[in-house]
Amino acid sequence: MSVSPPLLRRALRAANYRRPSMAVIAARSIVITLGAGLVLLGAMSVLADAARAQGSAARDRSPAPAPAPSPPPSAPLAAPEPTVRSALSHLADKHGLWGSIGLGRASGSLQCDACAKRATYAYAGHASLGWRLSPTLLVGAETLAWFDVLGGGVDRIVRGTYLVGRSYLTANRSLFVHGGLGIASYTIDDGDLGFRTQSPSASLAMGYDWRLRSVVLTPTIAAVASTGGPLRSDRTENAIAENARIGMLRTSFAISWYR
Amino acid sequence: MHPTIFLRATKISVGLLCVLAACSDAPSTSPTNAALDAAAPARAFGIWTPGKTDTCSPEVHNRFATLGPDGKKYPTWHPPVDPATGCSFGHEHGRDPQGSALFDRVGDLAFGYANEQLDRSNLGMQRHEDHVGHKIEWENGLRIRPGGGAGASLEVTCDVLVKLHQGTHSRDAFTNNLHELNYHIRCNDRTEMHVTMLSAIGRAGEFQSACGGTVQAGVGSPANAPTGGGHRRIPDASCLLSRMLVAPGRESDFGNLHESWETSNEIKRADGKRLAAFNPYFQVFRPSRFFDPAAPGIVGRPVALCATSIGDRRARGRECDGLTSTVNGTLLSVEFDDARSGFNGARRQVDINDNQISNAGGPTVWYTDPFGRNGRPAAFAGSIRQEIASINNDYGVGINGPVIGGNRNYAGVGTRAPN
Repeated sequence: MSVSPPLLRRALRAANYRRPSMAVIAARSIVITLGAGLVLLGAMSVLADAARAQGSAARDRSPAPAPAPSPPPSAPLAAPEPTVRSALSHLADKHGLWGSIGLGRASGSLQCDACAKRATYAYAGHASLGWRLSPTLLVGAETLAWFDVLGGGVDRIVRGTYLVGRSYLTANRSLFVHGGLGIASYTIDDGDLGFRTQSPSASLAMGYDWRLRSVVLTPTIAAVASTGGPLRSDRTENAIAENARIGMLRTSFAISWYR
Repeated sequence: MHPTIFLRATKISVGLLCVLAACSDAPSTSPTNAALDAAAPARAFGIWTPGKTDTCSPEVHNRFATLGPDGKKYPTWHPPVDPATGCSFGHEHGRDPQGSALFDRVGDLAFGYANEQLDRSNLGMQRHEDHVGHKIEWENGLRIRPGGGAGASLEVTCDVLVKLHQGTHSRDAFTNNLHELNYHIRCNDRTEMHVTMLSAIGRAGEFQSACGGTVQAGVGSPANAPTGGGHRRIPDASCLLSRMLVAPGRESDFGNLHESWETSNEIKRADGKRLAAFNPYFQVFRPSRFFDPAAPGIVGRPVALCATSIGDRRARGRECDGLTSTVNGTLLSVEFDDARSGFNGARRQVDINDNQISNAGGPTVWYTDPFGRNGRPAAFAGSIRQEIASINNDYGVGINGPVIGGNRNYAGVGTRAPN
């Protein structure tokens, strides 16, 4: 396959770029907006469900049109007394916990004026735990880590923690998008000297729940980007760059669990 | 209006405005001829005179001038051959600074400005240097990797423009440790400094032998010159005779003809706090002198080693080819200042080492005495304007070794010692 010169030039420019292009800024904005939207949607859903549960409980408490004769004191109750506990129980019937733990391969990069312009590849793990607000909308927390620690004499580690939202795109609840907002860090350490950076970050993923009897396998492709922060020496706290941005592209398999 | 004419007119206007406003601190990239004609000459201006084989006149040479920050007229870089007339100057000043990415920021370098400021600084000493010793080197996009494995993930890129007065043809540096240094660096980790100073390289009156040990060479000038870090490593006769005179059939190691001036410089505030430190090493291959206490003026000439015998041992190798002849049975070498001799000091390199700045939150403009001391935010008599980025760039790791200029030879037509 031949690469046309304009395409090659674009690729070279992209490899050497120092400042984010409009496309990157737009993509970053979309990720942040999507993540924020999902979190907002989750919060609204919680409020709506709570309101529904409260309404249902109120209806249960309203007087019956024709009062029935009182049962004898020794007879058992025909229906449970409506309480907050029963409302929560009702919620649990429709909703529930979910979790996911996965392992994959990811390219990690640090972009700044003084950073080497290349990504490295290593294993990455991630785990999520959350609450199902509805059959198609989930919220929770996610943590991820990427360890480029095998060989080379230097360890590079990315860590991230996010508030996430997941929305299924199909009726059979298989294909989903998953986004989050949180904090990511990148450390470089050769055992003697290290540099680290930490900044607000967004993650965006797309995955597929593949249900095999009681097990759900979830292949996922995910991207992580950060807004950028100072890259500091851990020995002197002086920053070698003020704008270090973390980037990661990950493919993974997870085992998911829904209650 | 044609863009070039417009730019020229703009430059002239800016130059006139600058003269009217006496804005002497701003770097002047292209002073107008009128401004140069009107300027008073500095001590360094007009001191070059042509030697026996140089074909340029002093008038041609003096066209290569610039205004210093003090408004005086100084000599500046020129090629070894005048591009307008084709005449040769017989000496060179290294790499044309106009190719440096820092040139727009720095402008033409005023040779001898720090020496001139020392006269005004009331420090009780003077130091003036010859013209041919001013040597410029620069590199754009120099990649510097911080040490250690962590450095592999980082890539600091710098533009560097340096000039040291490094005369390697006379006895001057045997005893004199003060040499004018211009040091300009700008990196993508926000390291940036623009420094002009007299670098005190080791102690006055002595130097380090290329074979090791300290050689006491006389009294320094000025005698009260401050002692600095680093040293001037210069070959001496006893060292060279033992290493370079070889028996027939063997080749001399001309690598022994190598000077290394290892500077260690600091810019300090008046209270002694260090604002910046940098330690470039300046190296010259095949200089036209070595220290010889038995020679007239204590200066030995490497080219003479090609005709110097101790028994059947003498300097042998292609560096001596064509430089000797036998007259009446006596082997003679050409004169040290013959343009055929490769011992002319035109091959050099600079090691760019640490560049430390400790100026976070401080002003970016400091005024120091000519030795980089007594830094204050305001100018004072004899002070030199220094620019230092408002950062701390000590990352806890050393940066050593990038070499610039090692693959270049600046000799042009007619270039010869003294150079």
